[in-house]
Amino acid sequence: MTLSNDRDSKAVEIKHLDVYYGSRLAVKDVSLPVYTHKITAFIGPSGCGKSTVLRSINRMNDLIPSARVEGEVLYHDKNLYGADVDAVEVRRRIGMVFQKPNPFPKSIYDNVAYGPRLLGVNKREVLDEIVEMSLKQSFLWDEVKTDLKKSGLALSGGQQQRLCIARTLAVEPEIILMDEPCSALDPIATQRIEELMRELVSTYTIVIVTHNMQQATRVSDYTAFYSIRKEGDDTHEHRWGVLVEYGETQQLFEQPQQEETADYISGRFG
Amino acid sequence: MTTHMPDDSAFKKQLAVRNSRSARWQMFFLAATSAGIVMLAILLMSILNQVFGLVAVYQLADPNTLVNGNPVVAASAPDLANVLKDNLTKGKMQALLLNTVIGKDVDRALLSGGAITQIPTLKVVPADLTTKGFTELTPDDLSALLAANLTSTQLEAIVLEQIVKQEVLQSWNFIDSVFNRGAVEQTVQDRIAGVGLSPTLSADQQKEAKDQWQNATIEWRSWLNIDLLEKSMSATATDAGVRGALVGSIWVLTLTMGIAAPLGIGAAIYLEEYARDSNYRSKWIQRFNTVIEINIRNLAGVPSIIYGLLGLAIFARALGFFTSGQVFTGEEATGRTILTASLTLALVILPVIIINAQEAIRAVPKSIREASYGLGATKWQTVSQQVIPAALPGILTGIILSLSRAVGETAPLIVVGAAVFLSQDPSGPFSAFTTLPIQIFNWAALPSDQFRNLSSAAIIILLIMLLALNAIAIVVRQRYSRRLQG
Repeated sequence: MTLSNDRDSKAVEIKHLDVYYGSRLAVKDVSLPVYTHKITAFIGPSGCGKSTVLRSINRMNDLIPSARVEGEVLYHDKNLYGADVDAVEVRRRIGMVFQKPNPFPKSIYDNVAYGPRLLGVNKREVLDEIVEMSLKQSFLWDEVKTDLKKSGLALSGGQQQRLCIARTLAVEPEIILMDEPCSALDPIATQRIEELMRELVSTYTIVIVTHNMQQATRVSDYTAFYSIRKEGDDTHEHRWGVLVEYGETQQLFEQPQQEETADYISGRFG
Repeated sequence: MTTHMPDDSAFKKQLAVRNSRSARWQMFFLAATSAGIVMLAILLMSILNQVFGLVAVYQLADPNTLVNGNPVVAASAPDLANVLKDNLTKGKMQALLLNTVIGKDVDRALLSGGAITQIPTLKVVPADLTTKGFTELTPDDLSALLAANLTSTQLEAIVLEQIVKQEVLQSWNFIDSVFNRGAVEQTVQDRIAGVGLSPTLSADQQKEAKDQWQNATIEWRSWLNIDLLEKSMSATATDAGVRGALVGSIWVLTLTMGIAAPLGIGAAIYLEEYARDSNYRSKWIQRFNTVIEINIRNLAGVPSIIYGLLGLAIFARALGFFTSGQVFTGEEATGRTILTASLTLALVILPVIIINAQEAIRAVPKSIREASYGLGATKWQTVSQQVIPAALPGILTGIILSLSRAVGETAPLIVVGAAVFLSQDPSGPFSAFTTLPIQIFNWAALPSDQFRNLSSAAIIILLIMLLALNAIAIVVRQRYSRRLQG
């Protein structure tokens, strides 16, 4: 698996993805491409399955015992759910940043060095270099370079989130998945993360789930809008998520093809 | 608009009722707490009451002037050996040498013929005695041999035991000693006059007892002292100590922890991290795991004496060839050893350790696990580098608290066969054993007052051990949680 420089090539292609929790259908028939060196945003109302789709791209759903996936997630034409694919390798290539900043209860240095160490990189000077580079890439270096021994939990929320991004960058993934990375942050910290994302996309492919439509228009190149379908009466209601529309961000926000999309982005529902 | 809420005056009236109800409950909670504390205080006081108090002591010789007018405590080894020679017969001196230096197991042929240098256990032999046989030794020779082979501390103990023969005629508890001194004096006067002595004594014994009381001194005694820790078991209260039981307790505790901790943590990790895994999605495996979990929870409530019966049947009898050390030494021995006790106690505390460790592991935030997996960690990397370190304070606290339960456990150990009397300290996993609570139980069951005093003193030692363990648990938890918060 090599990093492609072709600007229009697809890093990931999701084909007819269904996700179940136990016997309950959560997401139905999602198909979309993720282009390399672009930011793809997933938007939609709560419960529409956008996070579920995101988490199935690096097989984080495997951690939920009852979760089951049907369909294909192609990564450079290889199905990530194939029998010969190890989830550990998938997650090392496709990193993830979570909604709530979740640094390990360790020093800043150890947080960033954790991933490389998992892969067997143990030389001090190599780790020093990786830590410095990753923290510089995530614009955190200048703020923490004097006390790398400090606990990651002692940082502010925005700094913690940038530390988590640095931690993800340290293992040199190709794709970074971000699950509402700014929802726990104040507007200034949010702005810094958004700038950071624009910076990172020249090297990485990014998929972001966001509740904030302005954020989607500000940072993303492509947008996928998800919505909810219902079945049954009030007592036995069954809901699942579907992909309503996918397209270039500008196009989707200015000339939505579906009425539901138009309603959502104009604030008429959701 | 109509309101369903009470009007102002009704509200004020009702508020007074509500406040007084809450005050009554507060009183009840305070009373409950106080009752508990008062009970504990009474318990502690009744124990301490037995530990300190007056005793009537009778001794054949005064240890403060015994060695040429000097006290026994500061005397040299040869001087002490001389005191023994002056006060004991030749036969007694021989027996003393045999019991303390040579050892009772010696080949008898070496004693009846040949030079004493042939006896392997007799390490030091003065130059002028090398040609003599054991039976040819004069009291002076025996004294010289004792002085050469024993330390002054050992000789001091022998002098106190053989010559001073201190005997506690009666002991009084702390409250009587302080507030009812008159009654104490009255008892002494009565005994001197012969009142209150055991009616079964013969006339001669009566006279002897009266003489002893006549010469007895009344003094303060703390039954809890350094001697108690240093002395081994004895049939005389003044010579008895808890050393054997304390050593036994420490051995049992260490082995119990060595067995139960790895098993308990291992089982908890399996149940929390692996058994719920999607790799085990099969319905039968899931059911099996549920059954195991329910059983562990039930086992934590099983009375410990039942574990004792299990330990007796399995560890002491069926696996006796192993727990007695027979497989290693080849010697026929019983399975009632420290190892059996430790295995049994490990069974008693295992469910508690598992449940505590499970809860500690479950309390580790999901976000930490996700972060680790998200970076491409394997299951074991995540468990060993994130989950276990984060759960460690909880796991350790659970282990230490269950150990403090194991320290006090008595019933199962009586069942698996704790020794009532140990002449030697336990020296390894295959030794016969006794522990502090069993020692306390045995002493408390004896009719003599003095042993009850000793038993109370031993309780204090046990309590100190327990408090120390609990203190460690608190320190461990504080230190680790501070580290986790950064």
